[in-house]
Amino acid sequence: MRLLVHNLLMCNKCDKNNYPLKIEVNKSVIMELEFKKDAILKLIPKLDFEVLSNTVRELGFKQFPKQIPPNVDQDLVFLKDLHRVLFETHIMDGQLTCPNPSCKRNYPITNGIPNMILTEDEQ
Amino acid sequence: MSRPESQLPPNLYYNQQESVKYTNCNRIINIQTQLSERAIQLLDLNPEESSLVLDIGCGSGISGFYLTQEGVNWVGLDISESMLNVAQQEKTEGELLLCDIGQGFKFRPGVFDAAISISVIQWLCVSFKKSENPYRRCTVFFESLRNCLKNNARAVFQFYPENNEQINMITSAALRAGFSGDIVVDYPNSAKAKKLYLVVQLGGQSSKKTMDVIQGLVEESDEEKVKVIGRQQKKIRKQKKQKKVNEKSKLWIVKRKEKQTRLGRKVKKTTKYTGRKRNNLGLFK
Repeated sequence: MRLLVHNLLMCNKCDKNNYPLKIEVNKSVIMELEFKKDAILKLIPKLDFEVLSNTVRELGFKQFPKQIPPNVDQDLVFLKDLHRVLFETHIMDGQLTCPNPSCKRNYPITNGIPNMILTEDEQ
Repeated sequence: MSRPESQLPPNLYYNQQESVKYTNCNRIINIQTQLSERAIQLLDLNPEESSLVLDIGCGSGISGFYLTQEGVNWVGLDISESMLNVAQQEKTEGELLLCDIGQGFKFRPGVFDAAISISVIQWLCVSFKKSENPYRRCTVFFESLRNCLKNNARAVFQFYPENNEQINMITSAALRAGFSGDIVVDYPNSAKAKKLYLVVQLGGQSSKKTMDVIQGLVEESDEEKVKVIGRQQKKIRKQKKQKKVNEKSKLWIVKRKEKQTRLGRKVKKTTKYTGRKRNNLGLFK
């Protein structure tokens, strides 16, 4: 799982206070991917940047900016960091937890794929 | 050959063995490629505006590969762990999630610019457990999709309905959720090549209350053309062989004489008078 999908995903079970899911990482890898400037610029409006920034800093990347810098289309350093964080950091093993205190549902991540399937009782 | 949907639930049908076919079997890959390319064409993505697409039933990532080629990022959902593992191995550039679309899925509202689905949604119409209600699953699916698509987003679903009931179940669920659109049929006259695509849009200016079936591609498929030509050529060759010789002509007489000789009968010699035109003199009428 990469942080792009984490920025979009909400808890499947509950309706309120179900975003963002808390990440617990047991194993992560960095897999390099070709940097495409246009693709990433198009994607920036879709991101909840505050959530992304908090998540990234919680996972250890303390220098990641808290806000999108001005003139972002010229700031290659920022774009490359963003690319690394969104596309190159794979969480292979771990779990996602719903932030809702009355839910707290765990979604395990195996082989880099989060399992969002609910049991019969939960539907 | 019975339909996959009547054999096993999709997470069990698309097991390790079946999933491997999607990497190795050229026939399957070719079909899925054609369907994906056609669906992307129907999706009519604007490369400057579209940046995120939802691939419903992404499987081993064949359709996702073509989305990446279009320059869009995508998130893929699938119920089969084996298929997603294949996609992971093939290092697809999209995001992968293990999920049952009939249960619904939740993303931030309006994040996706479009949605695509290849050979998947007919699975919603069959249930393998008492707790699964196809009508409810279709409803929940289209509602979930509506919530995560942006306004006026388009969605294209290539699917294999077993009968009209399934088509109605799916189209009515889409309409109830607020989608409007049509069913596009490619090659409607060919049992083999015929394909159905549900092409819908969220909202839009005129929200129609029904869906029409409209004609898509209609040219004869190349395969059928080749068959027809082959048959015609065979017919022509056969006719040439059986070309009849004119009766009573010299050639005919000579052939008859040869045949009789072969049979061992007494036959007069062939001379310059053989088959010559005679003047009846009124004796033979």
